[in-house]
Order: sequence, then structure tokens, then C-alpha cells
Amino acid sequence: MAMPERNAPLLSAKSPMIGFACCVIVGIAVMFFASGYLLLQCTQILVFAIAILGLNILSGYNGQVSLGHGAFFAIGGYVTAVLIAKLSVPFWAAVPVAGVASLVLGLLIGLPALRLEMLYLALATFSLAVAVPQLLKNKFVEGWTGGVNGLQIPKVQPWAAVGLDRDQTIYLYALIAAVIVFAMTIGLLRGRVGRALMAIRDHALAAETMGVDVRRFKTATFGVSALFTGIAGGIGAVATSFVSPDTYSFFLSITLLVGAVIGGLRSVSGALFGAAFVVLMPNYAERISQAAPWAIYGLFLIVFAFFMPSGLAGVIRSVQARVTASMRSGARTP
Amino acid sequence: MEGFLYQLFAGLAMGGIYACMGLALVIIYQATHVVNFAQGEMAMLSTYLAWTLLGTGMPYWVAMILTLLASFAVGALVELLVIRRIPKESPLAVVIAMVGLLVIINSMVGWVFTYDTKDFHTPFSGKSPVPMLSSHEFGALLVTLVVMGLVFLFFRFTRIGLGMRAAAANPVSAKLVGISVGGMLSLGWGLAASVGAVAGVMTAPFVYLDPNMMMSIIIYAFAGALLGGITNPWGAVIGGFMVGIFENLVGAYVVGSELKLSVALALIVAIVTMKPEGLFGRRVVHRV
Amino acid sequence: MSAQLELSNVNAWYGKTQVLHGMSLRVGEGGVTALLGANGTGKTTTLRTICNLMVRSTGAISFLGESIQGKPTNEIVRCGIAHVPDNRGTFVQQSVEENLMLGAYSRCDRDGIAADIERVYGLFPKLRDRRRQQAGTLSGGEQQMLAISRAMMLRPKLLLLDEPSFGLAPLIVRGIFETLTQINKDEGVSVLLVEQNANLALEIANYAYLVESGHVVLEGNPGDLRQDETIQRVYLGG
Repeated sequence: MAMPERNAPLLSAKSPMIGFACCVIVGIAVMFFASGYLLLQCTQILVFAIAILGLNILSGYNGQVSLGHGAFFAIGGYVTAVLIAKLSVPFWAAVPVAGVASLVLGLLIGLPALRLEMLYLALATFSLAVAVPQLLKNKFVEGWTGGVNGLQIPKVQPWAAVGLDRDQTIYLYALIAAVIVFAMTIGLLRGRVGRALMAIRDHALAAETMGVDVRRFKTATFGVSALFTGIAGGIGAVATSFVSPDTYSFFLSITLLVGAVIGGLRSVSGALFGAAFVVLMPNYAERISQAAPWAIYGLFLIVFAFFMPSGLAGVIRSVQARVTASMRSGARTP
Repeated sequence: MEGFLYQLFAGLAMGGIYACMGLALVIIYQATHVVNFAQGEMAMLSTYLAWTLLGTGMPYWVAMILTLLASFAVGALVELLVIRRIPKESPLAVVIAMVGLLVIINSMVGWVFTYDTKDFHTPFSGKSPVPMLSSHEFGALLVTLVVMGLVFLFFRFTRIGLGMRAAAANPVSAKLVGISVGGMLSLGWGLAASVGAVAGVMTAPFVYLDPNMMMSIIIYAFAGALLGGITNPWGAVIGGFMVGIFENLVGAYVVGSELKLSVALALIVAIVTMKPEGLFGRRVVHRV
Repeated sequence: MSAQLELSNVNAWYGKTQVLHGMSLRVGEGGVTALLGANGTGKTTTLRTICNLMVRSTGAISFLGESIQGKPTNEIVRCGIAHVPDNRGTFVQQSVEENLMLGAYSRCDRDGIAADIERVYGLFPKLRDRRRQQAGTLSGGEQQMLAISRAMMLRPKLLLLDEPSFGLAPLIVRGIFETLTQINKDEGVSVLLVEQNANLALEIANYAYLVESGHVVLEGNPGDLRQDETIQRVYLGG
């Protein structure tokens, strides 16, 4: 299993609170100064940041791989859509409910997933990712899901009382959700939960003997991972006002994976960077070709794999070591 | 009853394709301990190559032979340039690299050939000798059986086949008898790529050629390989046929054809949680 | 006796751990050379280093006058060095006969290979009885016979043996050592033998090295070594 270095702290930033506060301030500023397409993109970045954080939690702290996290995104999106479109639930309530649905699914999957070797978990989640669109199209749930055509979501009511238009409302909602989710994660990781997770990651057997219920923690982590990605899926559906089976294709799961890998598999802030990358990069790459973003994703994945588990930081360190060594041997001229 | 037989035989024909892909997957897994998530895309790439060659007016079998040779070369190169550089101590790195390979191949093909579907004609026309099978179904079944038979003979009766089996089973001892283990691994990837190419070329007339053609095929191949036992090449073959028949019958009589992939998913989940070594996963007798 | 294999000031590491510190030894052509010493002193590592297997090394290693230091294992093997590792390295999933065929992998003379297989069965009749059996099902002694036979199929000039007596009943060990002597005399194959059982090793060797902490501390012919106090006390129990 690709374990992050032992005894490495769970959080990379020395003072996450300052960085976090800065991000929140920037986030609020965006709402007032950005509009139209840019605002929508920022909403998308927040959505993906939450989703990718979910995946990061799974791989960085549980050490598990999921090639099918798009499934949770889909659950979040579809449950939200059904609640709003068919049951007239207001969007700000529908999303958390969808998140809970995703959480439940995550817990159900999480327990048996514990017994699976990485290879088998990868195979199972890969198959899930490919099967999701078909599952969404099937005729047994067509009445609710709209089958192949998907579901239109009625446009949300803007929070006019606060002077926001529709796009700003959705953005603010996404921002609030992101702040809650990220703050929750940072808070948990700094406290007892974080220490327990670190113990599990580094010495699972020892942790167990010291009273840490490893299985419960790992199952709960899987659930939380699903919860976050599900919430993200719900907000994403609200933002696009539409869900359809082909939105949640296998390649969505790949996008989440790429975002997680690029930001750093166990980095909380990395989820934000990864999200920015997968939302913004295609804008430029698609000018070359529809396929170009994917070629870039694939290249990133392979190159990243070459440098696992130490990642980019490890590459820099080994280059430094080689330079230092050659300087030293140069000093000892024969 | 007649309808049932048709479904059964159709499942057998598709099963041959799943068996071929499953064989390719297991060859690679046994040699390099890597699950090649990109096997389907490599097969798809080979099929596009064949399509291009056929477009020049070349006779079918000439195009096929060239495709097989080119696929072999590509497979060996991928092993040499990509697989060798992945730190095998990290299973996560392996998974990520294979997914990356999948994405690169898929996108490059989409870039060059566009995502429009293309026609791919079968070389098997006329009346099929078996009434339950269409001419292409019969031809595909025959071809996949022949190819798998040749691979069996290769591994069993040739010196290089023995060397490959030895290099996969015990690389250290293989080196000690003078085998170039790296060379054997490249050969294994090349062979698997060629076998996959056969599966791809036989698939295209069924489903139209597009970059995502092999996406669901690979899932069925995984299911078959897991069912038979991912450590046993011939288990994977039998598993592939079983999945082909099962999937077709369930799709025809139980869940409808739109949910066939979900059946494969359910099968995969069931196997990995309950019996990961599959039906025929071999356990080797060791005496220290 | 000209030196067939020569190690000169060889250091070797497993990862960051250094195991050999200035190891030097020679194996004469046609001779039987023994490496003695307690567990963990670097004897197995020496054999591995000769074959460049699993270790990183510096220093001079030459075979038949040519340097083999740092070359890929399979190339070193093809120069005529056969290594029987301490775990025997049997191809457990393959049959006995397939193991022998693998031993001859680097050769192309089909008739010669067939003749050699017959000779092996002549030396070890038990292997003929089990020729189609999966090699992993053989007993310890049979696997050792198979391992030595597999090495001989290479038609090596030098045979490296790592603890051939380990875990085997004394009667079987005696039989194996007799065969080794026979191989050495009849075929002129040099032997470099790592053995914890010093008595046994000194019986068939014509030169021996005592290894401690990754280098040689004592060397000589068996007669002299037997007289040495340290060897007597520590290794011969006398």
C-alpha cells in the first residue's frame, strides 16, 4: 500500500488557519467581483474541491483507492435533483439529504471494502465507474430519474433578501458548504480523530491493541469520503440545473482521481488546487482539441506514478541529494 | 427453446472475446503483477490500426498480420518504457499508472480519429455453418478459440514459452539459468497486446468502432478473469466463456439488455468479496 | 592452479547495509574451495555478489580473466557460472523435467541437452521417477538433487553452492557430497562451496577460507586449517 511517510504530520501547512482565512476572504470577494461565466467556474471549482477532498480523505488516510468516486457524485446529484424536481424540496435542504444518502452508501460499501486488497478494490470501483451511467438509465427507476433523458431541475430561488442573484446564491451556498467541510476536516485531523488516523496509518496493529477500533474508523472515513463527494454532487447538480446519466460517466471518476493526485493525495489544501486544475485547464486545452485535456490528465497520472510514493517533494529531495553528493566528490579531486 | 439456444450461442461468441481479453490480462498479471486497466484501450488502438490498414484497400488477412505485429511491438515498448519505471512496491502507483495509460490511449485515439463511430466490416460473410450463430459470431468464436489454442501450445511446448513461465514464476531463479527476465516481460506484454488485438478486431463488427468501444468489454473480461481465477490463464478463459453465456442469458431473460453491465458489476463485487481467487485459482504446493 | 574466479577487495551492500568489507578470494580451476563461517558473516552474500544478485557491489570480480563485476546476472551465468542458492530456487510450479530443461536454457544443442538429462537421471534415479511431477512436491533432499542437477545442465565451469547440506538428513547429505566430488573429478567443474558444516566442507575441499564480518580472516588448505585453534574450537567442536 502506498503509505505516506511514517510519522509525517497529517497536515502539511504549518498554520492552516491563516491560509484558510485568506481563502475564505478571497472566496467572498469573488462573489462580489466575479460574474457570469467566471462565477460559474468558481462555483465549479468549489464543487470539485469538496468532491476531491472526499477522495483525498479516502486515499490519504484510509490508504484505499477508489476509481469510482463518480458514483457518489452521481448519487448526490440525482437525489438532489429528485428531491427538488419531484418533491419540491428547497435546494439548500435537498443537498444535505443527498449527502446523507451518499454517506449511507459509503458506509455500506466501506465495511466490506476493508477486506479487499488494493487490487480488488481498484477492480471493483473501476467496474462501478463504468457501470454508473447504465445503472442510472435503467428502467426500474426511470420514473424518478428520467431515464436516458435525465432530469431538469427547476431553477433555484435566489436569496434576494441578501441582495444576491441566482448565480451568486448558488456560489455562496457552495462556499459555505466548502468552508464547513474543509474546516471540519482540518479540525478533526488536528484532534483526537487525526491522531487516531495517524496511528492507524502508521501502525495499524499497534493502534488496534491500544483500543482504537480500526475497522470502525476506516468504515467511518469511507462514509465521510462519500458524504463529501455526495454533497459536492448535489451542489453541482443545482449549479447546472440538470442531471443526466452521461454526466456521470467513467471519465468523471477519472477527473476526480486526477484532481486528487495533482493536489497531493493526502493534502487538504491540495484538494482546492486539484479542483482548480481540472476545472480551469480544459478551458485552454480544449482549444487544441476536445481530447487534449485527457491526454494531459493521462500524462500527469503516469508521471506521478513514476515518482510514487514520495511524489514531487521526493523528486526534489533526490535531485538535491545528487547535487550535494557531486559537489562533495568534486571537492575530493584525485 | 430455440430462442434460448440463440442466446446461448451468442453468449458463447461474445464469451470468446471476453476469454481472449481475460487471457491477455492474466498473462500480464502473471508476468509483471500488474492489472492492466488499459488492456481494452490497447486492443481498441490495435483495432483502429487495423481499420486504417483496411482503409488502404489491403486484403483483410494481411492487415491482420500487420496489426498483430504492430500490437506486439507496442505492448513490448509499453513494458520497456512505462511498466519498468513504476515502483512496484507501491500498488497504488501501479493502479494510477495503468489508469493514466488508459486515459492517454483513449484520448490520443479520439484526437487522431475523432469520436465519430466508424464501420468495421467482418471478413466472415455468407452463411454460417451453425444456424444458431451469425456468420461473424461463428467466425469470431473460431478465431478466438484458435488464437487461444496457439497461445496454449506456445506456453506449453516451446522453449521461450517455458522461459516466460519461469520468468514470471521465479525471476531470481530465471536469471540464474541465463534468462533475461526483462526481455521475457516485454515479450509477455507484446503477446498479451497481440491477443488483445484479436479480441478488439473481432469486437468491432459487433459494436461499431469508437474510442470507447472496449470499455464495457474489459469489464466483462475482468469478471471472467476473476471468476476463473486471476492466477490461472485457462481459468480466465473458461471464466470468460461463462460470463459471456451468463451475461447474455440474464440480459435476455431477467434484467433486460440495458442492465447487463450492472450484472457484471454485481458478479465482480460478489467474487472479490467472497472468493477472490475465483473458481480455479491455483494453489501451489510448496515444500521448504 | 590458475585462478578461475578472483575477488579482490569487494564491498557489497543490501540497500544501505554494508555486508562485505574488502572480500578477497580465489577459486582455482578444477578445485573445490570452501567458504566457512558462522551465520550472517557474508558467505551467502559473497556468492550473490559474484552473480550480481540482489546486491550492490564495488571492487574487482573476474572470471576466466574477464571482469564480471556489475554485469547483469543472466550474462554472468552464461559465462559459465552456475549458482545453487540456499533456498534451492526450484521452479516449484514446473515439473522436474521442465526444471532441468530450464537449467539448459542458455544452450542450443538439443542432443547434448537430452544426453545430459539422461546423465542426471543416472546420477539421481529418484528424479527420473518424478520427472513429470510438480517440482514443489519433492522432498527437501530431492529438491537439492534437482537444484544441483539444474545447475549442471548449464555445463558450468564453476559451481557455486550455498549450504547444500541445510535441513537434510545426514545420509542424504553424504550422498550429495559424494556426487559433488564425482562431478568435480569427472567433469572438471570447479566448486565454490559455502557450508556451515565445516567438517563436511573440509573433507572435500582443497582450499578453504574462514569468513567473519564480511571479509576473510583465515585461509589455507584443509590440513592446516584443521590444526588452527580457532577453527578447532569454534567450528569443529574440538
